[in-house]
Amino acid sequence: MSGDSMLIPAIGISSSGLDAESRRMEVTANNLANAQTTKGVDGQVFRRKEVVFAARATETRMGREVPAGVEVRGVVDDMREPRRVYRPGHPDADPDGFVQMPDINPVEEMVNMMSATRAYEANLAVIKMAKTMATRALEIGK
Amino acid sequence: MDATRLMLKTVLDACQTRHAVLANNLANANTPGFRRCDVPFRAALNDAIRGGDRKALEQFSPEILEDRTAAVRNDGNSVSIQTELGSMMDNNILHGAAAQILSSKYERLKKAIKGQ
Repeated sequence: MSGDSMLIPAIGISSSGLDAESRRMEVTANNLANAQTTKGVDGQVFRRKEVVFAARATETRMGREVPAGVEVRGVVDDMREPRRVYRPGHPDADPDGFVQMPDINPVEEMVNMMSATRAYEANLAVIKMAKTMATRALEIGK
Repeated sequence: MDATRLMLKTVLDACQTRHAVLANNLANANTPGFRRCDVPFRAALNDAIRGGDRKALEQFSPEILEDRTAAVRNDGNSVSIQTELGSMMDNNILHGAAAQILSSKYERLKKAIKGQ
């Protein structure tokens, strides 16, 4: 009979999914919170951010290839141009009265949020099922 | 270990492998370029069982294959959350059935040993 049970790796795989999707939710929430930020920490207009997901390389365990889930490679700035809005009284307005605002679309962010939430919940279901399967296997012959 | 128990243990192990692969699909549900994989072990296992080759069963190692029939979205990803969850439930049921049969076999064995 072939080696180890794959259920423990399965839980690690799903955890990586939970981590990645919750990072994604954080970044999305941050985009929404900063939709009106004309001057960020770096003195520039806030730039929308995105997470970069990548599949983790398979690991070799006991001579078998075991998948390893997902990882967040990084958080990158979206390079779309900021919007120019006419607000002459604004403290960050340029000499012509225009303010640079982040080009953040709440609908786009909410769609990302829903997608991340759904994936998060699916990963939770996987962990639950792994627990059930492991408990069942342990109880055989008890 | 008799042939039936060996077969059932092989099914259990294959189901657990498949669960890990489906878990990986779901963890990568939003990874651009990721193609879903699966473990189509039932056909191969059926052959091993019908062939009656005990050694084939003992050495049975389910293969992890990329699913070429899955529809690919614009970002290159082919994972559908619904499909994965459905497959996972199927897999869970098969795992449960094998575990249950194995359990009852061990129950009877224990009773036989106790002389009941």
